Amino acid sequence: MKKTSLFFLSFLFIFLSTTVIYSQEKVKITGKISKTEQSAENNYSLTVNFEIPEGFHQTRSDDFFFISFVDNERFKIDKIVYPEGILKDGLENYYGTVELKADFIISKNITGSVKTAKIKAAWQICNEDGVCFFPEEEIIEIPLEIPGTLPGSGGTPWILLQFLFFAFLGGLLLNVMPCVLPVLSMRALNLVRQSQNDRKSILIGSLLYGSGVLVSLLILALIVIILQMTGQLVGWGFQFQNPLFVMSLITIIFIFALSLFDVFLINVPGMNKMAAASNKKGWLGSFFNGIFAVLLATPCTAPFLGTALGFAFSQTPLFIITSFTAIGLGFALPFILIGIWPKLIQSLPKPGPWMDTFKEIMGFLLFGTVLYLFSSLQYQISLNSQFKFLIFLTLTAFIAWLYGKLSKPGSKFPSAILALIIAFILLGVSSYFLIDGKQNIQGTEEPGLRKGWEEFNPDSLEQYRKEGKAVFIDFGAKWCSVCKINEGRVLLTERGNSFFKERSIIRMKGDYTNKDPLIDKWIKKFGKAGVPVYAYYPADGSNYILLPELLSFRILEDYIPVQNANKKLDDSLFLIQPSK
Amino acid sequence: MKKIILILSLIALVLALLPAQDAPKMSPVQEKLWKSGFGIPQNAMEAPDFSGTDLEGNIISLKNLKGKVILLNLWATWCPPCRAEMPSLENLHQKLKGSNFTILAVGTPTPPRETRDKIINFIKENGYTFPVMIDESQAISYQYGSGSIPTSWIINAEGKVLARFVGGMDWDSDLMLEVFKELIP
Repeated sequence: MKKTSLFFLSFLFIFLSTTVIYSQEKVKITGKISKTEQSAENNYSLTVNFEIPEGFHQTRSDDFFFISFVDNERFKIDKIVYPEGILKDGLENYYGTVELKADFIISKNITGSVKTAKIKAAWQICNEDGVCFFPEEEIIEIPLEIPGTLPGSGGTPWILLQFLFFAFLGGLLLNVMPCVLPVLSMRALNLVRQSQNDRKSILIGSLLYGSGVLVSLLILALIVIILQMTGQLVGWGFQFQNPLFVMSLITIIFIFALSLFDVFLINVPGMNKMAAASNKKGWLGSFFNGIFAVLLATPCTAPFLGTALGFAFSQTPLFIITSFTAIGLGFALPFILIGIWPKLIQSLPKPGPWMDTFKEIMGFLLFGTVLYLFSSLQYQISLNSQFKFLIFLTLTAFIAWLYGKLSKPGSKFPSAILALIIAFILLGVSSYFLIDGKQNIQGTEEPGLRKGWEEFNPDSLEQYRKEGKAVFIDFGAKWCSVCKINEGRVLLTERGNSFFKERSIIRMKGDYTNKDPLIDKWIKKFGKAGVPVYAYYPADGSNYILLPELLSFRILEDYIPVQNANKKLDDSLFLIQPSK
Repeated sequence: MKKIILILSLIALVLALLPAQDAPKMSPVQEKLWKSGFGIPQNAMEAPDFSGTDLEGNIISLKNLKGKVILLNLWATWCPPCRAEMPSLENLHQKLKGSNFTILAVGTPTPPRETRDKIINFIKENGYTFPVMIDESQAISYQYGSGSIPTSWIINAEGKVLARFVGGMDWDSDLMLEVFKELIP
């Protein structure tokens, strides 16, 4: 009888305790955002209610009982206002529903609109029997109705708009370059005179000029797209993962930057004659004037259009076309505006030496671009190859300077074309010896540097699977910021280390900094398009599980539970006093 | 008669739902613990091995402590009842010092809020001298955790779990001293 009753009681208790404890410890969270009454335009107030179940209390603690924004870059919280609690044993306790309040501002430095705000609510409750439960947190989403944010514009289209705006601005700025502005004023004057001040024909003429500009830029875009496609056909990778592509881009931009300091002049032979020939009257003439405006301006615009072209190589056709259209619109804008209000001619800035200063400042901007590109190169090729590339760039500067000397008008050298050919041969020879596009597959990070990890290898993976071992695969890249966040917060931490050890999981890392074809194949196999990819192969031989891109320990624990080797000693194994 | 049948069938149902197990054969010490609210393992329970580091970073593992009676205590700096029972743990430690008994007070870092440094500082500031262990991998809190803290375990010199207690306790009470003295070989 004793036996049965004990069992009965323990069963009853386990049943009750699980239902009572686990259903009651759930804290309910609700929140709202409102505008603060008395204050400036950008101040808001966040209120979050914690509904604490009966029989439990929350102790005041900044560390374990708080609210915060998930995106704390955008939303800056002032300080959390805690209500007054009930003092007990020197602690301030809260019972029932507790309201935490905080004023916050939305940072204006961050663009893009927001419709909701994600809020983290953290708590850690104890019951009246002196038992405390582990800290918990929940993320809730609260709708935001804030005037001034762009309605309906999500993140990506906004970034695209921003990019197009800069392309447009770039096109507009091209107009003040030394070889554009004087010509622009002259052409505008001509147009007005030719049209005998007839507003309508001035407008049509300027619009045709604008479309000429647009067409020539679209032709450039088309050339890029065609080259890109043929390039891909023959297996050239116009991506930033391809060091050869990055090195070519650096060299081109570097040469262009030099030209902005008049080390040499970009000159398309015969162009002047062609332009003069096309300089006819009439509307067709206006259209061709537009096309030739782009060509004639080459010495100053090439550095920028060239750079834009270079970057465009790695983009999608649609993006190439839209960005070049934006440049064209910017470039044609002043002329079109003059077409609409011919009087604007007088307010065009006067050409002068300031244009050269402007041009040279732009040159430094291009050197900055070179540095930016070089920074991504440093992870792709070995230190030795990088040094060789620097020698190559110095030689390139020398060749550009030599070409500038030889091709100068009035130089005793027979022909500018010959100088160009010599320059190209010299460039070719030095690049043959100095450009080493061999990818540094391991990057600068040797697998040994990452303690406890081994390099990804399909054969070893298969071997481990046969041996019944669990494997965690991480595909990441140096240029992948999310990967770095995950590494810093989870994977490469001490806790991450023990996480894998405790579960006896083999860790494999595949570096995608350089577009490794093997890893590329595996990323596609996992049905992903890029990094990071986190895949877990359980020890029982079952199929792999893909983890989310942004990791946390909670996610890891959810996806990769502790194996039965470390079985939890839970309540069901115990006989517990029902009164307890 | 109907009532009896009903009750009997209910009992039968409960029994059928439970895995066939023997009732725990409680030792006299376990009986004492059971009466004061401890949970007693249903079956003989080998304490699974665990390891962690002490405050100086030395590795402590259960298997190296065979022959000693162990009071394993899971706690955290943010837990008021844990803090409340610590002075009694210190007293117990002082009273049983030198015998085959050791306290292992296990703190589990859950950064950023509970960190190794916080745990160490808390112990130092309060001048506690009983052995404190850091469960960096969270393996101990996972395996020995009851879902709430404080949770304490009594493991005998043979490495068997004798009892588990969830909640705060007066560890240097006469009863507890008596229990430990009986257990210490």
